[in-house]
Amino acid sequence: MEYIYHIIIFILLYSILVQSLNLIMGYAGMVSMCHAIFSGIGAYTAALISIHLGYNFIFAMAVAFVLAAVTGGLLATPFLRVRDEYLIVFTIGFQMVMYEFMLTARGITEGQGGIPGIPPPQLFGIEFVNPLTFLPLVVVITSICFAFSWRIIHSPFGRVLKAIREDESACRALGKNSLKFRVIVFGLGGGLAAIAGSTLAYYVTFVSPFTFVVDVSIFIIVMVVLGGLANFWGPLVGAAILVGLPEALRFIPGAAGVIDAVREILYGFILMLLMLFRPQGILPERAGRILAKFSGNEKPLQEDGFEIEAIGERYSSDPKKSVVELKDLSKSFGGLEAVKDVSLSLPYGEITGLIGPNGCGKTTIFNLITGYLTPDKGRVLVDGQEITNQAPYRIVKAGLARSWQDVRIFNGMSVLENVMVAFQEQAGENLALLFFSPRRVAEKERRNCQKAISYLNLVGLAEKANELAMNLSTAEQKLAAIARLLATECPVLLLDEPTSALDVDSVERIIKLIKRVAEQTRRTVLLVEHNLDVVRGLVRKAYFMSEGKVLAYGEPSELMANPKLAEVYFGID
Amino acid sequence: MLLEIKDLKAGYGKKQVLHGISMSVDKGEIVALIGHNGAGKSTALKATFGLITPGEGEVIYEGMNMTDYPPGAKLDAGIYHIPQEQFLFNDLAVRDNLEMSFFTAKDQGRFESKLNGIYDMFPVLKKRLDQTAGTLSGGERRMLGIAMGLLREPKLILVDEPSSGLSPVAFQGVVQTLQEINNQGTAVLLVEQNVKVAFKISRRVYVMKSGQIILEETGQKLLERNQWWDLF
Repeated sequence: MEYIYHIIIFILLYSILVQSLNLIMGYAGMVSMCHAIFSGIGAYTAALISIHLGYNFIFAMAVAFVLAAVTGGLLATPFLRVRDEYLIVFTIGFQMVMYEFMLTARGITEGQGGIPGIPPPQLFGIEFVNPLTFLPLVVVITSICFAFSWRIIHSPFGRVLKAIREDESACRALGKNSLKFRVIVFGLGGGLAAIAGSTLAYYVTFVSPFTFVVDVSIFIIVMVVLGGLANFWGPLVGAAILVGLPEALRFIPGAAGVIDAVREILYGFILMLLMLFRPQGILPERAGRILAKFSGNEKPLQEDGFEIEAIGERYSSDPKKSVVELKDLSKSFGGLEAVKDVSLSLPYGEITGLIGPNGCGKTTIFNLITGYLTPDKGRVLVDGQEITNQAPYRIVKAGLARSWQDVRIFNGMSVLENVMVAFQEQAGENLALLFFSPRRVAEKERRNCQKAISYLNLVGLAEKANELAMNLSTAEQKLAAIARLLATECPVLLLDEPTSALDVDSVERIIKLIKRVAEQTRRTVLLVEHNLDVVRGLVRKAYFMSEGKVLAYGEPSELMANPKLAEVYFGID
Repeated sequence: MLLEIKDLKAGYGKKQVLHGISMSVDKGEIVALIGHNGAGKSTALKATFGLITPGEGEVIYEGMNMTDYPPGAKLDAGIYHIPQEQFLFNDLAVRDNLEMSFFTAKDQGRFESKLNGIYDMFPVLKKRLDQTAGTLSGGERRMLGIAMGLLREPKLILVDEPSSGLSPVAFQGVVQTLQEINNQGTAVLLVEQNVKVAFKISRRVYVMKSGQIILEETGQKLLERNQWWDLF
């Protein structure tokens, strides 16, 4: 019986380890090859504190959590500016370095011999020594860790993590400082791993570097993938199978020796087979559950499903004012002058077009305004304030939001989640508020959900709120992206070819929608389009660009009556 | 009719770009396909050539239904596609590029004689036989792309925006080449942004908008108009 408790303890401890990696890898989409090291930091910290300082185990584990979390956060900061493949290599490097450290820093870790004699945890006079007494303690610790993870995952914070995983660039364009989120989740994942590691140390009463070799890091990855990435119960399933199964097989006569020999080979095989046949793991991710308790019951804010809020008036209701100004903006790529001394301004409350032949610099202008490119020269001003060269998420906070020509909807999230992630200043994205002000977070969520459904009603997608975004047609995805854009509640919208690749009916629908929204909310809009029907139907005036320069500004009819522009657009003989 | 496209629907996975287009190209014709960016013109060429498998509709070439035929089969049948991105082997010399184009041809023995024909038509390429394709000028690259196509003696060339990235002078050279080829009997289906030139050299023009054909007219008639903004 004790043996069974022993196995369950190991399954639970591993499940904490796997859940902590699930946060990093499953939800936030970052592959970490050094996860065993964080549990090692936990184990060694707890051991050293208990042995040399004599403090109680709860204190020691808390310190271990903080130390590992800080390490994880620091680790994440430099390399998160770096792409995914490099991240993997970086974490391999960290794994190697730290393992060597554990082996050789004899002064701290006592080297290869490890640290024996860790005093068992004590609480209210009970000593947790054998599997029987340790099991309840582990169950409690695991429950706390899982509850903590649950809260994070099923929160606005968790929603942003998923959006980062789906498309980090698009997520930043919604005003989220993705770097901050990645650092935090890497730290939290590391901290939780440390809890598992320190608990293990107390159970085994011994710590050695060999427990934290790269094979273990890989083992954790196999478990998280097997159980199912981004599924909350996946870690438990993965740990139960890969820890429990080999032990259960020991009962088969003659199997014991074979199991140990082939264990590593087996893990490798499982990983390969999973990737080939079922990369989502045993338990698939379930999108849309995050707001299952809200949606369906929420009534939109108004009868016709749209709360008319003159968001555009956030800046001013002076029709003569220019809300956005570009002054002498220039950008070159090597020898190519993509944008040359472009000055333009967007009048308040109007839809302004930006048209021109292919390669004239429209997309470059877009990227310069929204922080995806750094101008060589020139300034971008919003409401008189300079926003030149700021990071994309800050541009959104200044009140400018952009759409993408290739939509960039978050495929693995539901339509409703896509819209909800776009709201600004969500209380639930702040971890302190998430844990210490749950009512405030819940209230904000409810309000945002109502607004989101209103926006979905407006674009005609309310019935598909819980549908996975990837299952929508292209036209529907574009509508969802518009709803998402509206949810940023930015007074200025930059639309990049919103009707590209759509059929005539869908184009009509989108034209009507944009018109209605812009008028009712008095937003200022910059519209890049190639389909001149859309331009004619929507804009009051447009800028005509060619070869990086603005050639003309005027009403579409004026521009199209200009023979010089016709020559540029239709070609010279 | 050399090529007939009937109610073609195609796209990239979920993203359907062509919503049922019908066109035709007769032997020895130059036909232009124009329209705004994102209308689906390149997709129409790719779906015809087999780079994308059409979802619905038919591609009928020389009376045979070749809708689902892969590009290789279409090539052997006499269709050659020159994409806008110009897939040349940049690290290989001009002569190697020409050899590569001929690699899967059935009449390997005739390579040298065909090559001589190419040199006559493209003296500039003959001068730069050993130069790596990546170092050629824009116009020369387009010429190489066309030359590579001619080696396969196509009956129909699908050309995607030959003017893109070229100076007016270089484009003029390319246009002349296309007209010469056409004079020798090869039909051309041309997607082009420089509509003035397209109207001038094409017998017929199709105008596309949002994945559908909105107009079919002769190049001459379109040239006689004084504005074309409504086509975009």
